[in-house]
Amino acid sequence: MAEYEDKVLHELDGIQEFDNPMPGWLMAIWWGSILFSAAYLVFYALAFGEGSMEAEYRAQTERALTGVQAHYDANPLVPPAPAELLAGAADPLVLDLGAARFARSCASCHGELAQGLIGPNLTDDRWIHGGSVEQIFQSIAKGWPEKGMPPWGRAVPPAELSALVSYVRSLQGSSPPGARPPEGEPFAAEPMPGA
Amino acid sequence: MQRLLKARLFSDALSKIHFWGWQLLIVAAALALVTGHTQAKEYAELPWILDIVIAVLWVIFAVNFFGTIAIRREKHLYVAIWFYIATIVAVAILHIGNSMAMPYSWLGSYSAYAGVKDALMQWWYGHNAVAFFLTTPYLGLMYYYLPKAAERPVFSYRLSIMHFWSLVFIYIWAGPHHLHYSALPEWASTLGMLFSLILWMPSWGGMVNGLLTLRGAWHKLREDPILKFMVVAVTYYGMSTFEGPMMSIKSVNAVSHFTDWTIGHVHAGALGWNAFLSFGILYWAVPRLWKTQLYSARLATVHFWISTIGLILYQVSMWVAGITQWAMWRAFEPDGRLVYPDFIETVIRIVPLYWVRLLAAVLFFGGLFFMVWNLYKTIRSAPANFAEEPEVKAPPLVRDLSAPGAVTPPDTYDHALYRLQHSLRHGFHRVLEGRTITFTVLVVLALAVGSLVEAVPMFLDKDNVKEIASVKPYTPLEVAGRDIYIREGCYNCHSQMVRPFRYETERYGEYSKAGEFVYDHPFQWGSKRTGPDLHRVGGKYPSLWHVRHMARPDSTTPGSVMPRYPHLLTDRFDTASVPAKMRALRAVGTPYTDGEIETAAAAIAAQAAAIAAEIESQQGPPGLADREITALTAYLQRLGTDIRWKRPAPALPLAAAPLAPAAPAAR
Ligand code: HEC
Ligand code: HEC
Repeated sequence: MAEYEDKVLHELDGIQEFDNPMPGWLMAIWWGSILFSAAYLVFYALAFGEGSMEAEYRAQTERALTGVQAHYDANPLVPPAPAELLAGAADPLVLDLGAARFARSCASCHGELAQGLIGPNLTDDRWIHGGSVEQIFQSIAKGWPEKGMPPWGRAVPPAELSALVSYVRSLQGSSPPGARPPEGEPFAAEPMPGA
Repeated sequence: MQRLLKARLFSDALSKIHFWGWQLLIVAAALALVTGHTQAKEYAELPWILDIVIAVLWVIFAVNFFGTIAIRREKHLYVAIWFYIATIVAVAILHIGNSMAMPYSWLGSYSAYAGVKDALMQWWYGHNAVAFFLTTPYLGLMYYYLPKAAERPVFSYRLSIMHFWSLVFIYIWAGPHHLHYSALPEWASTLGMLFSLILWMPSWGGMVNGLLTLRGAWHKLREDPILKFMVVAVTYYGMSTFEGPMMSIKSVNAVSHFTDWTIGHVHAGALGWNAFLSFGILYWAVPRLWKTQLYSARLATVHFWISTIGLILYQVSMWVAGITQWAMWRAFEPDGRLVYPDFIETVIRIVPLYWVRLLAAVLFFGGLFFMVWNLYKTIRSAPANFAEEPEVKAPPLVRDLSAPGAVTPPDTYDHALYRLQHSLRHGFHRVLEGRTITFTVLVVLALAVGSLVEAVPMFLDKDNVKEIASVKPYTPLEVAGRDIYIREGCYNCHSQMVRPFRYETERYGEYSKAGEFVYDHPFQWGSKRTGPDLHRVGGKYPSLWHVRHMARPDSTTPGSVMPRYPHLLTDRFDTASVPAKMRALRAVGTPYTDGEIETAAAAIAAQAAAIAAEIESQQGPPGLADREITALTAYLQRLGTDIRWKRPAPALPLAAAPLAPAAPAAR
């Protein structure tokens, strides 16, 4: 790098210091960052001001909700028919899907065998919120948040939601060991198709 | 330092006290932390009493340092000394400023600041601890050892001046970039971002001055492991100080914050810059101190390569992990559901990268063994008389005019002018280098500007933390629970700061407001999400869930990597200390009444009994009312529930369809 003069200025303890100028590109970064910051500050003060984060968030949410809305307009969410849910309770493929999801999301509160733990026993014929497949679907999708049952409608894909209902229905009367005492009203399980 | 000032250290006794005091402090710190005594502020965890010890030792350091400057026999202070002056002054200010706390026992205390203010102070400190503990002293070391090892002159004196002063002035402003999109007011966050950008050049000034010093010595790099270490160190410094400003841009920060990326950024800097420079210095200095040759340059080269590979593996694994976490946290299905609603999925995905990280650590530390062995052999080969050193004394400093034989010039205007011109001949800064006190005062002023501009409005202007009437102080039981949360170090894995992004409010709940933290001494926002955010966890689960989860996290969350805390179910919490704690909290601004403090024990018993009864009614284990888990659960169930909030959800078609999944109801 011949452009530097390399004139020695001082020396101390064997260390010399050159009198070279600061590299031009480095100074360019320096002035660039300062100018950018000044411009940003002015722009920020004029265009957004305080509260821009909040406004940004509102807009983001609005956009997302419109998107979701559009999605449902295009793909209306057809509630599964009870017959379909009951049919699933006899379909090994559906049951596998339901069992897998149950182990992942529900066993922590209802027990691995749905015998009841923090949440109620789901295998007996007593139901707090109703035992028809439609009501079970409601319980799962909307939850009972104030009583500790989370809503799953927006956390679990629709196919798995239906599979969960079928799976729970299939457990009726399985009397697992260590079951939680019955809670709620008795409900005679709807018969499965072909049964 | 002795060589640069041509003087013996001011006091050997002070040096010894400083050295051994610091070693003792490290032992005490380790003991305090493993026994759960922490202030829960990052890089400032130590209990208040140790903070005082630090301050005393630091003053001893300062006295010794400035004392040596006072007796120096070299007029001008070399650039390395400037950086040390900045270090000593800044660390003192930061340490004292951030450690202000109200003790309630010998080891326990509450930060004097709460919530947002505590966060601002903490990151003013935290960021500048990196600056003035890991950067400026190491730049000082670089300015001495790099030209020594390369046997080349420092590239540019002007650049030294420029980047020293800009670094000292600008660094101090940049702290708020750790708090983007948090409840910190936006003006502070914006200032933090802009000054971080402007900091790019001053930081690179150090790198450029280092690398260009090597002009004409590059060929030595091939054989010399010492220079290899130093070059990688300086390059890494440049890399980190480029990455840093980029990460302080708000939109980039939205990606990196709370992920492994941030962790990777700091630690790669520490390993690449601080550790590598230290290695280079040790390999250079040890043979010279013991008047011998390095035992094996080959071994040092091996050390260099395996450490470098470790370093790169580490850095890459952290980048990939960080970006992966971000991408998974924010992924939405077209129907508005999160793709990965279970946080644990996003943890399990990056576990392979943690194995890479482990491998990287093994390599890096493996390298250390080579170094220790190499240096040990080097020292063993020292000649017997290595310690015999003829005393060298530089001639005493003489002020031009009082020197024997100097003619006292007539006090005329012309002569005064001549003297002024004479001293300014080498520039204003050269004069400054001879005046330690002026120099130090200027450093303090440079530090003060940024600190005050950010802190004063924050503390004076009430608008910065908008009051929320429904936010009430913690109950006595929750105070006890919060201390358990702090003691167990939960904040190391859990944040308590929901940012205003849709993917966060969808996952956790309403974003966090400044007014919700006014009773948080210290704040617990955290800076890393190994586990999910907890600010809105209150009411999310039944209390029994927490009992089971704490005892065995994988019983409620299969695959959980959270540690088990079974002792919380067996140990009893300490009721007796709560009134003292409440008094300390009152001293720092929490409005507890005398009555509340007197009846604390009864209030604790009542709330604990209610929680224990709830747990029992959920078929949980009985008799937990006096156990730590109950206090912790009380705190967890309280979190984020002081304000009412609901998730925004699309309005019609979902609710209209009779069986459609509805939006989760408002809590
Ligand atoms: C955090 C714990 C928890 C989890 C996880 C949980 N539940 Fe529940 N669940 C409860 C509680 C508590 C109740 C009782 C609510 C009440 O008393 O009203 C309940 C109730 C129910 C009911 C209604 C029972 C009745 O008697 O009417 C059904 C059905 C149900 N849960 C299914 C599920 C399914 C399926 C999953 C997994 C997708 C699940 N739960 C996950 C805690 C949980
Ligand atoms: C090593 C990191 C780590 C530490 C330390 C840690 N956790 Fe966790 N935590 C996790 C992970 C990972 C999860 C997610 C998986 C799960 O639910 O267990 C989690 C989940 C949680 C949850 C459930 C949050 C939710 O919304 O589902 C709570 C509550 C919790 N932790 C509390 C604590 C408390 C209290 C402490 C301190 C006693 C603590 N954690 C310490 C990693 C950690």
